[in-house]
Parts: sequence; C-alpha cells; structure tokens
Amino acid sequence: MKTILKIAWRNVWRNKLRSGVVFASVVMGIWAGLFVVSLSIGMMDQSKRSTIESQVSHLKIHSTEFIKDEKLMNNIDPSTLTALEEFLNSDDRVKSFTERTVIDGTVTTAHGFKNVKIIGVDPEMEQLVTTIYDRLDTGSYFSQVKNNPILIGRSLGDDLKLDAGKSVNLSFMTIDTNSVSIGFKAEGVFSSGNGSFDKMNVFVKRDDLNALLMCDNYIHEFAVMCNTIEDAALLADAINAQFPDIEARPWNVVSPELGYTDEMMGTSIMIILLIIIFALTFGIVNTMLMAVLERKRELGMLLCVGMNKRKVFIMIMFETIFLSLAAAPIGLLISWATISYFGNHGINLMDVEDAMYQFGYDPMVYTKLDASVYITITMMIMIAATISSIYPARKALKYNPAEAVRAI
Amino acid sequence: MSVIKTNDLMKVYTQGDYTINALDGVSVEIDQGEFTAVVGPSGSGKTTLLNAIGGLDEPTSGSVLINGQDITQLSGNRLIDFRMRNIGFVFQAYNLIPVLTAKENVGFVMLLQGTPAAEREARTAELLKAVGLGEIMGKRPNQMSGGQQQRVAVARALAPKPQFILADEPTANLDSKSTENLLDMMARLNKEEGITFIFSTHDQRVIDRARRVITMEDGKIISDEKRSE
Repeated sequence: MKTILKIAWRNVWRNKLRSGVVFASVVMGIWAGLFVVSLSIGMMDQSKRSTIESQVSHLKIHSTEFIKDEKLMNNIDPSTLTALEEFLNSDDRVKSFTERTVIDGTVTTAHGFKNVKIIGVDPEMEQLVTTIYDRLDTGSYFSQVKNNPILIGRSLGDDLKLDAGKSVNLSFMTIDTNSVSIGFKAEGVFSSGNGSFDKMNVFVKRDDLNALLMCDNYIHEFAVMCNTIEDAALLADAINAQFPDIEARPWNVVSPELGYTDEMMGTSIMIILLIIIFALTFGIVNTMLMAVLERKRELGMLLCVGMNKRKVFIMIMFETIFLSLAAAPIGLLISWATISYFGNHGINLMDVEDAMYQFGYDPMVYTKLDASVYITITMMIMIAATISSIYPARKALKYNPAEAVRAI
Repeated sequence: MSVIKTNDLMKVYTQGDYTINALDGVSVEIDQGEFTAVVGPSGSGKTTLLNAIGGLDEPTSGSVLINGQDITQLSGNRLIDFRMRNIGFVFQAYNLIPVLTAKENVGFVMLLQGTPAAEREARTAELLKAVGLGEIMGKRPNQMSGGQQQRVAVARALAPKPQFILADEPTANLDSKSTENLLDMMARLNKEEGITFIFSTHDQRVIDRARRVITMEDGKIISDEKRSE
C-alpha cells in the first residue's frame, strides 16, 4: 500500500502544469467560496445587529390592544407600567430599557409631506437601548435645540429637502381627537443603515410629545436590550406569563425577516459551497480522465505484470484524492487569512453606499466566518475528491492489458 | 519437460462482416532454457500468440498449459496472480513506471508479491548489476537511454523469478549498439542461469541469435527451426 501511495503521490506531479492548474483552481475555488460566504455573513450579521441596535432592540413590549391597533389611547396601563418597570429593573437578563410614546403623524415642509411614525423618547434612556444618537450624519442629539427638537432620517430629509437646523411641521391627532400641526426644528439627521426605517420614523422628546398630545405620560412601547440575544425569548416568555394585558415580543417576532436571515444564510452557504464543489469536481474528473487516457500503456503494463484491479483502482483513487486535497489546506489557509484581515479592517464599499443604504446595509463590511464552515468545506472537498476519483478509476479498470500495453 | 504447451490454439476476431483468424490452430511446445524467436510479417499472429501464452488475451478455443496448468481456465485475480508469479514481460516501449527509480521499478513486482524488504533489496541490486546497471539504480526512466530502460525492463521481468520471459519486439526502439548489448545480456542470462526467453520480433539481429525460430503466417506456424549452438 505504501508503494501504491508513493506512486499515486508522484503521479500527481508528473504533469506539473496540469496539476498546477487544478491545484490553483481548487485554491481559488475554496477561497472565492469562503470569501463570498464570509462577506454575505458579515453583511447579514451587521445588518441584523444594526437593525436590532437602531430599530428593533432585543425585545419590544406593547399593550395587547396596541399590537392590534396602534392608536394613541392603546397605551400600557399605568398600573402595569409601574410593575413592569420594577420587573425589568430587577431581572438580571435585562441590560437596559427605554419607554416610548408612539403615534402616527405627518411631517410637512415646503417641499412636501410624508406620513411617519412619531416616536417620543427619553433621550438619556434611549441612548442605553438604541444607537440613533451615534448615527447622526448632521446636527446633534437632543442637546442644542431647546424647543421641540426632532431627529429625522436621512432618506426622509432627502425627500423633503430637510437638514439639521431647518423647521418642519408635525401633524397628528391629540387625545381629544383634535388634529394639531406644530412646528419642530430638525436637530439632527440620522442614518440607521436602513433607508426605509429612516423614511418612516422620526424621534422627538417624549415629554414634548406628551404635552402636545395633552396626555400624562402615555407609554406605548418598551424597548429592551438583554445581556445576550439568546435571553430575549426567555425574557419575553417570563413577561407574558406575569402580565396578561401586555405582550412582549422578541426581535425575531417583531421583525420576522431578521429571524429568517439566519435560516436563509445557512441555506445560502450550503448552496454556494455545493456549486463550488460541484464545479471543482468536474475539473478534477476531467484532469484525471486525461491522465488515465495518457497513461493507458503504463496502466496496461501494471495489469500485465501482476497489479490487480483493486490496486489499480486504489492507486487512481488516491491520485485523485491527493490532487484534490493537496490544494485544500492552502485554499483554507488563504481564506482564513483574508477573512480574518477583512474581519478586522473591513471592506469599504463606499462606491455603492447608496444602494447598500437602501437595502439596510452599512458600506463598511466586516467579513465573518464560523470555524464550522471551514470544517464543513473540508469535509465536502474530501467527499467530492472521493466521488471524483471513482469514474477515472473505473475507466482505468476497463483497459484490456494486451491492448493497453501497445497503445501509442 | 516443456514449460509452455499450446494445443490447437484459435483466436478469431470479428470486424463487421469479416472474421480474422489471428491464431489458427497453433500447437507448440517450448522447453525450459530455450531462446526462441517467433517471427513473421505484421498480422501473422506472433503478438497474439505471445499474448495468449502470457495470459493477456483469452483464446477463442484451445488451451495454454504452463508447467501443466491450463491458464485459459483461470480468470480475474487468479490469472493476474499467476502472471505475476510465473511470467516476465518485456515490452517494445519499455513501459517502466516513470515516477519510480530503476531500483524501484525492478523491485515493484516483488513488492506486489509481498517479498520481504531485505530480500527485495538484495535481489534488485543483484539484477541491476547482472544487466550492467549497478551504477544507475537511483535514476528515473527519463534520465536513462532507451537501451538502459530496456535493461531495467529485463531486470524487472526477471525479478519475481518467472518460469519464462515474453519479450514483444524488445529491440524495436533501440539502436544497433544497445540491441547488441541487450541481446548479449539476455543470451548470457539464458546460458548461465537457464532462463527461458521467447521473443516476437522482426529484427534480424534477434533472429540470428535465437536457437529456435518459429515462423508464423496468417495465424499458423509455417516453420519451426531449431538451431544448434
């Protein structure tokens, strides 16, 4: 067996150019596949994190009525509010939370109007939960404008030709169903990373909003960040068990598309890897078939002098496997190195920033890949190499030694 | 006693509507220690006869007895194993394994036989010296001349101590000097060690050195001449 392995290994390097091409294609295939996967995972992961940090948070709590109909009067009952605050303050899984007043309204400027969700926040508590304060393109975060400051999203600002320092009118219904239109001053323009969110949401101070609504501290929404994302579902269950008139929903229920992202990524990774492995398999089979054809005389001689078919089969199989696997460690190493580098330094996609923004991605992408994917692709290459070897090896066995040995 | 005996050997090829009798009732006996040339024009059946004797090609009918055993009754791995232990092959195009050295090529069949390493090493060295290549044991085929490669092929054929050696046009690719050297070497092995050689050849120099010349035409033996030393 040792000699057969030795012959198989040396045979791999008989035609250095051809083996080199296969070697390079395996390296490139592995690298390209893993890099594309890591880029996709990096983008998806970043988008998910960004969406959670700027929009969804780990958990949202509303009154059950508000979930059905987002009306002003469907706020969380004040008695529940106090108990819920106590619960959240005492639960170890809770990292931070904030309370919001949420109503529908219209933003109007000289250039047009847009229907938006007006979110009244406590600026200090909000900073503990979301990263909007850190995502301002222009202006400041509720610190410079004394009367009726408002934060607007970048895409809304673009549509209404609105920038920090300019005035807008907010129109909404008060508690007594009167329609009011009040002047606000745009203090900052934020960019959450998601163009749709930025177009449809504005932030104002909760106290300002409650005063204008003529209601006393109406809270429609709790946004909660947990210590870990895995705590969200368990905490939601605990809250729902204790408070029947409210409903806590973890991030993947509030934003189902984020939950699907994980599942989709797993499937996408497998599809990408399978396509690459499939293409490599064809290349390897083609190369080995050529090698078997070129070496017809030699294989005929081996059969003549007493090498049985099992050994010939094993020799060709090992040649194929060696050819495939010799390049795999280098491909994996280069992939690991580049993915690690761009995982730390990021890839700047500023050239397509607008498109990325509209789809909810940051232009700076950090590649990311779990160790399990490296293990998966290694196993897939080994399986593909073994499968690739069967056809050329079977072809070699079909040679008639008497004819093969005289082949030109 | 005859080492090889064929009885009424027939080999028929069919090509479309045509049938070709590559061997047409060939019966021949070859004794231990013979130095025999099978000659004849292209298509006369000499290579087919050697293939049948070597168990490489199954005859349509008839039998091939090697030391009394009918190899036409063997198949698959039993035939391959029989070939490995009893028959040495030398090919026109040498057919050495390009990625192995001369020493490794010679030892290869012994390795397949499971010969212990020490014994294999000793016999390989002895054989390469016997064919005059003791100095180039570590060279690969592409570092050797055609004559040297064919000597290595003879050493490889001798390695498993076969009953006889079948050499198909062994000098066809060699120059005059290499041919003479090779024939000298094989004649010496035949004379000194009693090794049986059977050649198929067109080469007059081989025919001149043979002690028995079997001439074939249209699949039949048309003459069988034994010569004295």
